Amino acid sequence: MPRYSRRKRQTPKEETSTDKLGKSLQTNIAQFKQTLGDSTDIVIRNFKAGQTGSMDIAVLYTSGLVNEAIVHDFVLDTLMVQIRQTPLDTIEKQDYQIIKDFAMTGGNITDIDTMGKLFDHVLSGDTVVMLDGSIQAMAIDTRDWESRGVEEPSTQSVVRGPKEGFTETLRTNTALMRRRIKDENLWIRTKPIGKKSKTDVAVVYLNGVADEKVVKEVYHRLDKINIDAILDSGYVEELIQDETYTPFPTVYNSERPDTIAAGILEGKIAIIVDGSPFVLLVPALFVNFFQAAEDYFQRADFSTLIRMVRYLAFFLAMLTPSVYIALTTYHQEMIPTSLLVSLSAQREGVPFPAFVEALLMEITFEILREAGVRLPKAVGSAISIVGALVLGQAAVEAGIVSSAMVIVVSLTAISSFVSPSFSFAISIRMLRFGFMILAATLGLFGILLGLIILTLHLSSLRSFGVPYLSPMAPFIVADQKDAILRFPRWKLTTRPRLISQQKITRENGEAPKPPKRSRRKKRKKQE
Amino acid sequence: MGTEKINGLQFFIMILLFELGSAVVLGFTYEAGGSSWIVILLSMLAGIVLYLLFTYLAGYHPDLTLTEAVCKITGPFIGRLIALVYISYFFYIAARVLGDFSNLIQMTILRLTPLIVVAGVFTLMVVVASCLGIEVIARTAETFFPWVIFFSTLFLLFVYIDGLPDFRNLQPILDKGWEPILTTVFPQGMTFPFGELIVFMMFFPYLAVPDKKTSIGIAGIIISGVMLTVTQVTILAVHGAEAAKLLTIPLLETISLVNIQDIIQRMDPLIIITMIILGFFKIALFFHAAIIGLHETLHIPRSKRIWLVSGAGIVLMAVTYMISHDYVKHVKIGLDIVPLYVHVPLQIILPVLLIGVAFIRNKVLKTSK
Repeated sequence: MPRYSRRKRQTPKEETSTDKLGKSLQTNIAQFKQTLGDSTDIVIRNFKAGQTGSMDIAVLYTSGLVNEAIVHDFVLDTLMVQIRQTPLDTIEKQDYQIIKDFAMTGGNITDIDTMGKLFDHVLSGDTVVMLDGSIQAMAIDTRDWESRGVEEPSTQSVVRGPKEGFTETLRTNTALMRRRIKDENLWIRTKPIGKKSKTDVAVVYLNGVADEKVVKEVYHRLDKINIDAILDSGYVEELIQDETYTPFPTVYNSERPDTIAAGILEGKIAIIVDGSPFVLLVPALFVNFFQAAEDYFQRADFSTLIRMVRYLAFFLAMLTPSVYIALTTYHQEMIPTSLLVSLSAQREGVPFPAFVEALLMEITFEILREAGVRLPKAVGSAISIVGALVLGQAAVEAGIVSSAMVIVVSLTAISSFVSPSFSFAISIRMLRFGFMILAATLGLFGILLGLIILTLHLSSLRSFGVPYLSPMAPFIVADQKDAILRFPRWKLTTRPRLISQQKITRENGEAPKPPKRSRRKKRKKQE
Repeated sequence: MGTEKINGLQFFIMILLFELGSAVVLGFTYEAGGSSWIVILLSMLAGIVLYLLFTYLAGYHPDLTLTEAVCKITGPFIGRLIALVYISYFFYIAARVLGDFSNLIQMTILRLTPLIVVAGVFTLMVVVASCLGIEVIARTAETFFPWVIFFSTLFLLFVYIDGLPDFRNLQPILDKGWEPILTTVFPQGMTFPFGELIVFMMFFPYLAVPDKKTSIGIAGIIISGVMLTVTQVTILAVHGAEAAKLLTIPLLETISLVNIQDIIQRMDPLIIITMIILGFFKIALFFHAAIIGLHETLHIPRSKRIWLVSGAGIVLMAVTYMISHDYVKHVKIGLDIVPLYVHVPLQIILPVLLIGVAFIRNKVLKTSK
């Protein structure tokens, strides 16, 4: 990736992070307060502990990010009440170790020795206990904040299948993964990314199944990220994708734990970003964007049929307006006579050429759609009424567009919603306009020009080293089982060959067989 | 250019699409009348012999392209000269094919568009393809292949369901004897399209399975030969030998006759789409071969490739316009002059000479050791 290597990493000046903690508790607290500008959400509880009360202790935490009950019951209560009788000050200098080993009941305790780490821990929801005279402090994991519960995902909904969706909390999301794959080889590694936001980003994969090279590449690209803040997985996606200048997404994203788990089981790598319910999955191939979670929960034959409908819808959404333009403007001889007569009768009063007519309607539709997405829900129904009127009857009656064009635009609009992945539907929307322009200038030849260049572009794309169009080009026979077709589950015995380079075979059951006839006969005889 | 690789299937598909290229659209020569389909079968056999010749020549330097191998065989000076001859040959044929297709498209679907625009659009596709490299061209071929097969099958299906072919048109077989057949096999049928496979000598080093190039190539030639024969027989049976000779685009005239119950009619787009796809691959392969050759002979760094390709694209467009704005003249030259005076020396005589030189060189080297 020469693009990445050219950009030199800048090392920002970090003032506080490397400063060691001092021995004096009061100095430390003063510095802490000053750096944070006396922020009001920081709680600093300073008190005396031990038998004689000569032990100076401070407890620091961020209000709202911790579970106050835990802090009270297990930290403050322990330090202030339960160890009151312990003669702390007699065993000098080992107080820290004793408190850590014998008193603190928290599950996850980390030692801190610098100011930087102190800030990190306090600001991410840990409770920090500092002792006077100790150059170390301990951070107890008490993170717990208000968050959205596990709800049904708003995108990619299914009729049949699990209805859980990822949430904004990283730990909940990793738990959802762990609950689905209880294998010791499911590795979850986390690292903070973002100079200011310090967002936790977790890389999840099945060790021994995922391609080592791709795993390394993912880590490499994540390490290269040099950014202030990460507010959504979209940031990460944009920074790690193979190719920026392409309308097609080369990173898959989903709100559904089952989809991501299925991907991980195939040997793909999931990237979970704290604060985003959309989990990324790489490598992502062209065919992945046509596979919905439900394909695997319904019957195989039905799923295959539905997938073919999706591909058909893909072409319809991309090409219907342009083919209409090309046929009516350039190749009238290709339209059957009776249809041609009715089309030209409709177009008689329309003042615009087909291209302008189509462009007008498509843009109107895009505006309506965008408005519908951003509007408050209460106003949403107004949009559909206006849309129906503008795009439908009224436009035709006013003689601005022909009714055939309304059909074309509606068909296009409906088809563009069929794609199970929203990010892919966007690319179709963009390409549609390009094809319309080509059709208006060169007719059918223009459309083919577009298609050939599009295919060339798709063939040149790669997602983390895997050709984007595989398993179609390069053609891999074994992977056809789950590309356009969906074979019965007991036949899906291999992982995609280019994605998981190792451990291709999957554990899988045998084909279900009806009981043998002879046995039935025997049973009858016995009866 | 190192890491680019094409697998066996892709190589096969490229040969198939290349062979079907102009032949299936322009139609094979109809000089031999009702028996002209025999010409294709005989040309195919001759084509296999030629292909064996090419692979034998490539066998001397299996990991080098034709232009590099020539330098190794005859020494750098003469070698480079011959390499340049081949590069211009590929370039010229690319321009010829581009001329054919641009004229066809102008005649069929874009009657009012200037020829230079059509040629320019084709060139744009070819330039993009060539910039992206042989691997991407191969994958694109793989993507389009099912469609080409699908459309050809539909074509045959519709024509036969409609009951258009009348096989009495093919009789009597060999009505004019063997002579017209043999004179069309050589030089015309043999060199176009089968002898043109010499362009694949530029792509041999990219093949991931180098020892299978002979078998894959021959399979491609035979299957494309059979497909061409079937098409030719169909067209002859529909129109009759005398009428077929007069048609500009026999395939298109055939499909436009189809009308099944007033539902399946006006299927011309099928053929036009196939025509554009096939034409694109044929031009792209010739053009890319010339680009690879230029690259290696002139030692142009890879970073400047886009300038080389774009420049060559503009020249291609100009050359095309120069040689083919007069379509009748263009076809006349293509059928009467090019096969005998361009194809034969470069596809047959020069390779044979090169094999001779390489053979003697090897002998001398061995004895001197």
